[in-house]
Amino acid sequence: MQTAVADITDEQILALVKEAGQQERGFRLLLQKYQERLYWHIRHMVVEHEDANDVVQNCFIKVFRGIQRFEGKSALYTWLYRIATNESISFLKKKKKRSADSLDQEALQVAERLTADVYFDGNAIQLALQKAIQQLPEKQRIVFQMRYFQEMSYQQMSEVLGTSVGGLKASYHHAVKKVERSLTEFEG
Amino acid sequence: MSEKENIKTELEHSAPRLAQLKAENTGTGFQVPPQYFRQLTTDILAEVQPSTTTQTESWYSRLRQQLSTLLLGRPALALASVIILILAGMWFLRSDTWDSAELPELALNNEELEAYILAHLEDFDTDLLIDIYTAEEEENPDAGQALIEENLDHLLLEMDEEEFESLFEGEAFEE
Repeated sequence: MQTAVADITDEQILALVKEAGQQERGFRLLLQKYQERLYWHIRHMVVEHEDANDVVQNCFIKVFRGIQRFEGKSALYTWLYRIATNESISFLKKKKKRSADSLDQEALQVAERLTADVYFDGNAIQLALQKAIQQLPEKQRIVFQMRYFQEMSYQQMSEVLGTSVGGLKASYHHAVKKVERSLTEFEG
Repeated sequence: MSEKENIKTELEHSAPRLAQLKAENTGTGFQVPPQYFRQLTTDILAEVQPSTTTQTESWYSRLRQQLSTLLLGRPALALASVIILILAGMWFLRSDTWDSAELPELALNNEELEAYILAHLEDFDTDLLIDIYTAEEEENPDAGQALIEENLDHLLLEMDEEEFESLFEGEAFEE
């Protein structure tokens, strides 16, 4: 009987990836277990599907190249999220360099692009929520989406981002307040 | 308390509208194309598989693979054209340089030529000999003159009386 992907532990995946002749099988299992979660993590950060698709592919290519050197000092889950987060931040920075717009202008543009995006069918309040998130400073935006959408604990976020739990709580609190204010103004 | 409940409690205290929105669980409005995640697995594996093969293959297998790629279709035609051009170029270069570079190696030098003529003097017509020496003299007057003077005794010794007399009567020595 074949084991379900969800039942396979990270240790089993790592053992397969490092075993001669089993690398591809191990990597396939890793993809099946994590690709969807990492895609949504990336998508919430970069917003558009096409961008998320590029970033998630680059992310897994880097994972594949680096996994032989992965020593298990952190959990596989943490390592994968760290790569995905770094890839997303790098992508956003490159994108920002190309346009010297302010946060407000960027948020407006994201809202416009989302309206035209065939892979976004959100209603007015969901669009307003995305627009409010885009107006947050980078760090607050990352923390907000990791907690609000991905439902990660402060401890997990701390391991991925390398920031103290106290700092993350403060960032999240500020982000939540700003988004709440934007939504109330929108509906108001 | 689960993390989900922690988040809910946190939001209810500081952001009731966001808490309500999350409780409605209507999602974000983000969509993906049909069968996207299945295709994503295929795409990523296609990207990384060549490097898996490269890591396990020997250099000999890689070389063979590259050569077999070169010998297929358009690359093969291009390769053949390049080889033909190189060979044609080499042939032209060789034909240009034969006269100046390789011919002297194949030709007899002056000493060898002289030795050959002296050994086979009876086979040469006197006029031809004179023409040869005259031609050499025109190219290198000093060397030709030296050669004639050096070998004059030998030539005279080899001649019989008739030839000797005819030399004095011949037009070649008229002044």
